[in-house]
Amino acid sequence: MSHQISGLRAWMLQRLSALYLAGYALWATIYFLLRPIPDHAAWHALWAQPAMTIGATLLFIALLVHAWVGMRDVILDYVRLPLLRLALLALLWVWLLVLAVWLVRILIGVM
Amino acid sequence: MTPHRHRPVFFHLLQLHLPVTALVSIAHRLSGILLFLALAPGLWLLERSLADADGFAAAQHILDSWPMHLAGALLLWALIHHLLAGLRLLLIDAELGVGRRAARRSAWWVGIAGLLALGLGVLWP
Repeated sequence: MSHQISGLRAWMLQRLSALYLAGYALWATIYFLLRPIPDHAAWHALWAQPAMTIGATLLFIALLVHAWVGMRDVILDYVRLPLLRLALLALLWVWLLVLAVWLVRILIGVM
Repeated sequence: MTPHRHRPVFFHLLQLHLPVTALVSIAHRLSGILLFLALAPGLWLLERSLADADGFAAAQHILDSWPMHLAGALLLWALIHHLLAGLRLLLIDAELGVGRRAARRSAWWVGIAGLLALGLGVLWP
């Protein structure tokens, strides 16, 4: 993966996901300022909507891609030992995968 | 893979006089790492708050405690700084504000907006 997503493609993915994340952040801020969440029922109902499931899934895909490129850059910049570098990149992959599975479980749980 | 094995390295950070653009750039990276680290606790809170009414109350209670309040303020800074510094770079990619004066001015705005967000987060009731 690290050599498939490298150079220009990583740069592009980082920026495309950034645009989506920025738009979502703006939308979420306005939404929650206009409609604060009073209690658990309202919170649960919000997350149970199909639109929210789709939106959150897309958000999380963008987030994971963005985090992958960013943390990959950090690791490549500061970790020089090839083996340690590889290990950390693998760990990052596993960690992001764990987060993705976790979110899927949460989303299925409220459906 | 590493063509320059003996690149000059100067790490006396206190002797370096970094321009504001460099500080904003370092903070961009730092805020990104913070946001990355916050993903798991964030998911945990989301799961907890969605589980049942007790979990929702528990999550609210956790967020209301003062250490979490400060952590929240720090994350708000990280989010705002990272977002604005990123948008600044997107504009620079589009060749807007590339000149040194404009780049420094936009960097100041990003830094100040981030600190305002931090203040807002700390003072939030």
